[in-house]
Amino acid sequence: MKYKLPFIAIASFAALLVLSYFARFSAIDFTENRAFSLSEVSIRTVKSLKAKIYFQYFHSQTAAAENPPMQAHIKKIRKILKNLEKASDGKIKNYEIEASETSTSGMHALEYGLLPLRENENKLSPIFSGIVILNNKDPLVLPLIDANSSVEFEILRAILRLSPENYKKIGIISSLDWLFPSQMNEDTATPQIAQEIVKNYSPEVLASKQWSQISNDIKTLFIAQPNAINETQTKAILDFINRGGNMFICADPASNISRDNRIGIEKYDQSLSKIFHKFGLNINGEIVMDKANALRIRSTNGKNEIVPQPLFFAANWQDNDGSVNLATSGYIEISPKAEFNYKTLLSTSNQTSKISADAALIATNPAQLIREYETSDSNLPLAVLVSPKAKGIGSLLLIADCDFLSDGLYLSEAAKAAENADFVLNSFDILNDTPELSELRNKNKQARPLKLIEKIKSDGENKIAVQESILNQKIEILTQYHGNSLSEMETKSREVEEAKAELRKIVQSVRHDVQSLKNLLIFICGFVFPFGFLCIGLYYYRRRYDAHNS
Amino acid sequence: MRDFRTIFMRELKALFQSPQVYFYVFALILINVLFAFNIGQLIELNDASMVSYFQFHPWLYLVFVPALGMRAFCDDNSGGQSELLLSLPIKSRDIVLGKYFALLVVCILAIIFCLPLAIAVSFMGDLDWGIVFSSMIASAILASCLLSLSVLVSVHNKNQTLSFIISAGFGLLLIGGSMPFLISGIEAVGGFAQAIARILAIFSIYDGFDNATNGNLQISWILINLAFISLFLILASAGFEGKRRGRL
Repeated sequence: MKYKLPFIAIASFAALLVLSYFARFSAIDFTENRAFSLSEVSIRTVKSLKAKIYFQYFHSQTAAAENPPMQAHIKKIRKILKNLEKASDGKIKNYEIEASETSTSGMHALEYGLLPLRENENKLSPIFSGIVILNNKDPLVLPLIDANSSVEFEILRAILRLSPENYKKIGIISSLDWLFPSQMNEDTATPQIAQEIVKNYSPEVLASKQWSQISNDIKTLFIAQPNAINETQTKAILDFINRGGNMFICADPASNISRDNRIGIEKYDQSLSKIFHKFGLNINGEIVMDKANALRIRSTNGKNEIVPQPLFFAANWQDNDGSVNLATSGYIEISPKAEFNYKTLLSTSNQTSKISADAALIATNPAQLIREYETSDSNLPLAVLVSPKAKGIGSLLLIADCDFLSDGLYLSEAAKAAENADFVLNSFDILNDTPELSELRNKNKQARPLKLIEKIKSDGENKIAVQESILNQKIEILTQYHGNSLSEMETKSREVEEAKAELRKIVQSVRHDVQSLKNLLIFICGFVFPFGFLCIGLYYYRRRYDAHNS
Repeated sequence: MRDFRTIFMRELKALFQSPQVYFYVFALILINVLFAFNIGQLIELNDASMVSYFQFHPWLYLVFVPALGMRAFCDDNSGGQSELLLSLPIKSRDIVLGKYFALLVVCILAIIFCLPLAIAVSFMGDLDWGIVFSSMIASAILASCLLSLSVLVSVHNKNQTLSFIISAGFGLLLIGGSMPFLISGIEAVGGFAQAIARILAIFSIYDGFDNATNGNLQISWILINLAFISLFLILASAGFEGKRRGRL
């Protein structure tokens, strides 16, 4: 009896530890977008598998002990694979293989082409993480060493790749040689968007000029700034639409990127307009400028300065709460037809202005564009999805820009928040009637910025840009001044100094606004509430103390 | 159960009738908020999440929970009230649990004080409340575990300071199991220390907390914490019972 309690303590401790071992893959997912749970589309896909598939997951869980993000990543992959196995009703068999560089399993992983992650050259224990998927065909190798990747999406995409019926074919018609090189595979397709299309779909480039028909197995057509389309080709496209084929068309009234690269054409071919009119759409050829969402670019006027260029702007992505960077984009006019539904996917802010395509292509001075800017109060549609109300005819997604496909417009450090590639892939998912894939792709990518802070910073940046422009103007006047009057020279110098001081003041004021907000939050959340609680406590303590004494 | 409720209510009343608890909650929240903004860079990260706030909980609890728990029995031991407690016709288990849960209420109250900040963040951005809720649960579990350790240490010590130091030291071992610097430091000693380092890594209660602050509350982590809580509380009951028997 004397040792009864310690015995119970040790027994219950051991029992709970054993239970925790069995529950090591169970967890409660509290996230809003169910980031740690299998989504419906994954469960449906693995349940509908026709043949059995085998996963071999090579991982270095032990070696990852010193790299917590990788350890968590490996745990997450193991959990997802377990869940997929469970959801597949026996169609997936999962094998986990602990691999180190010197072990036999490590050698096997290397033979499959799975390279380990090395934190640095001297690291003795590199970390393996990758899946080899086996069915009747060649093994499919899926490296998973990026801890920030959307694991569930990557695995699902690999599963879909094994089943041709799930791997959609896309026909491509484009004059942009830089977008889809003639020899296309995952390594050679240079732009990121083209690489993503190759990874997600089965693209078939239709020869740029000679094609005359679209094969029946193509369900979606991607037309990016094509060469002139003749009557036969137009008829082939219309037949394709009438048999239920979908189209994603990028038609740019003034392609800036292709002009800079001295390839491609500057304006989209008007022969496409016939197709747009069928859907009640038109691109009239004018170019949109958006001052509120202007991207900041390096000025080409010989000075090393970053200025806002209203011809290059971030378009608001309606469904996604994100943005897509566009350059010298046109806009779309909609004349609604009764048989279609219209949905605007991308639009401008309400501070837009329009200029002709020719003027946009020669406009090099952003400061001048800003000075001559005439703001209108309309949000212009830049990308529109037109879908039929009745089944039979296909859908059209039209965007009045093709420069957005270029890496340079959204992959730079300055434009890292833009989601051009995601927009293209999500558009294909919508057209292929698999919108769940978009959700899955974006599952772990949803950024939740502090909008209030972003607004303060963005307003500040706009003020700084205006002040910088004024300062540059004053410096220019000063450097070009050749008069002899010393007092006038001094006045101009003083004006420059004042402009500099004003600029410093604006920069400090932005910092001060952010700091003030921070201090206010610290004061309210860290002081006012707990101090209120403390005061209430002390008040009751005092009352009790007085009552006790009296 | 009635005895447990009596002890629990008595302890709770005693706690909230003394000013220390209010100072305790005030200091914990103030320091936590200052850490979240100045070290956790809540604003600079530009992310509408409470990770910057909750990430410091394990470390703050290493100081604050032993500070709260050290009084559980040490006060009685040094103040002579233990004689009264020992002579009461109440089971040791009920006394230990009553005191433990009363102290836990204070910890949970301190956790609830994260809500003003969470509401402020949700006004500034799109806060995921599921993650906040998961973090609060995880924080409460972590505090419960460290508090049970403090109660155990407190039963066996008359000196509050010693009780605090021992609780904080063992708490560090429980939390530090997933800290590479601590594990590699212990491993560097070699021999038996390597085995200890491995055991610490297995039983670390930090990893699960880290996952929970991202919204993924692992059942195994909850069970490991429950295992520790039950172990510590049963041992505390046994210790208290032993004292009673010794007195008799």
